[in-house]
Amino acid sequence: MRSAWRLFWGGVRASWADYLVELTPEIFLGMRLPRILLQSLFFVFMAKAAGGDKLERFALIGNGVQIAVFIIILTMEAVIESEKYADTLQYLIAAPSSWLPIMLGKSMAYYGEAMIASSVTFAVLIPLLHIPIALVNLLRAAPVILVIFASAGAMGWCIGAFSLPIRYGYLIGNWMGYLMMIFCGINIPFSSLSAPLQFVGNLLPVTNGLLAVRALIDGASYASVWPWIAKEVLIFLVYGAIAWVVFGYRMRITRQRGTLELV
Amino acid sequence: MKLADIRPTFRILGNSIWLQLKDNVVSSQIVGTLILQPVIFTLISVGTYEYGHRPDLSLFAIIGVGLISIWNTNLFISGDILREERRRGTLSLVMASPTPLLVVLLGKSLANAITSIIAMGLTFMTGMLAFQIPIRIANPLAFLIGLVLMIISITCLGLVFGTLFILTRSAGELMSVANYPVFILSGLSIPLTLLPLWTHPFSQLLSPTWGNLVLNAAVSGTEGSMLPNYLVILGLSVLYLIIAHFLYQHVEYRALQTGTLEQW
Repeated sequence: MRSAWRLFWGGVRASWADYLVELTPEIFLGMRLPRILLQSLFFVFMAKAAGGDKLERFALIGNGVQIAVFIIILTMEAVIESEKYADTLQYLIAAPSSWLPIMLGKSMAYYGEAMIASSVTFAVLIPLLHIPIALVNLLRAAPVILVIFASAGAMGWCIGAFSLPIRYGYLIGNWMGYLMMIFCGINIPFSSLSAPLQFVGNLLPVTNGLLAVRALIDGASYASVWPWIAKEVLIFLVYGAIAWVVFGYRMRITRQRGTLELV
Repeated sequence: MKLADIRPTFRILGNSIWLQLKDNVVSSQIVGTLILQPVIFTLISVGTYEYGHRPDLSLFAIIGVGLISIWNTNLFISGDILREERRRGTLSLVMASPTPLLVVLLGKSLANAITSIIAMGLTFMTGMLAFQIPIRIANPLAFLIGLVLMIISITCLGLVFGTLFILTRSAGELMSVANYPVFILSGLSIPLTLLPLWTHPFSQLLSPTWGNLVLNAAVSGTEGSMLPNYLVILGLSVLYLIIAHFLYQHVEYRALQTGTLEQW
């Protein structure tokens, strides 16, 4: 247990070091944050043009969460794929310790970025667009938003593990993020989607969690939204388990066949 | 430029276009920006307008997504060209050659813009197949002229950003921050009336704003001459080229002075 914690913290430190090389404070404040805000603003404006103030509010909640989900899916995929490009996969394979604590640690900086993205989107766009959302209710919904981040992260790991032998993991993650805008009820209510779209949406992270978040922001109690939260947790566990099995399989097969260079 | 330089310049331009077109055929980036993005963005934007009972804005959204795809293809792939040259260590060689980098970039950006016409077709097709939107272009000639002018103009606008990509190793971040302001300020898929008044001068300096007007007018068959709008697009394109030229000179000087082109 103690060594698992040490590995986890090693991963956290590595992820921050890696993160700060790519994203200096100037780049983060001058480019990353404006991009995050403008992407949400674009879709919120679209909703306002389509359905007035009501749909604008709806889209802001959806996009405030989705912008962070986007970051998480892309970066979790990259956490797995980067092992290949950084030539460190062999160390993960050869080390006697479990790969899970270190990979979890390596993901932490990106979860941090996602939380900042979501918080800044809500903090800036709610007053800017004069959208009626009570801060207390938003804070009440924060734990469910964290559950959504966890399930989206598990999906990102899944994409990374499945796409490890090919070169298009990042591309797949990017477009999965956009596809989720269609299937998960980000801009328009999930209930308005056709039955096939709802079926797919129910199998994806975010959908059920976001339904709970919207209800909590509108003043519902946790007791009334727990089935949605439970489904989101279940989705996290399923995607997490698939990622665990597939990534483990990839590493085992790579060692068995000696095909490290082909991964 | 001397008269004797014109022929080699066109040869280089032609070769750059050809090389980039070949590169695009095997690029995974193209699959994303040229095929997936138009389809997904059309589904999101038209789906939102249909849900809000604003089918009158559906065609407007489709044209907007088409222009978004043209701009994105230009921005992302042009940015990627410089990023890849830097990664491969060939950027300094390209810059040190007697051919101005601007000519090479112009050719490559033009190739991307030509390729991106596919995206416009895909957005219309997605609208037709997914939402049964009848696509009738009332004035096809005006639409075609507008589209060609937009491709040229977006190429020139892309060059302004392209020169900035030389200076930074964070071209990826710069690319991703440069797309949404253009979507919003140009009113691509969202009505400009939603924006505050102080943003309107910025909108008018962006040629996609005018291209959006021209293409929507051509589709709906609005009465009146398109010529003033065509001239504005052409004028802005020349302005972008002049800015790109001066920026390039400055950037080239900075790059040679700091000697950091190889830094990755």
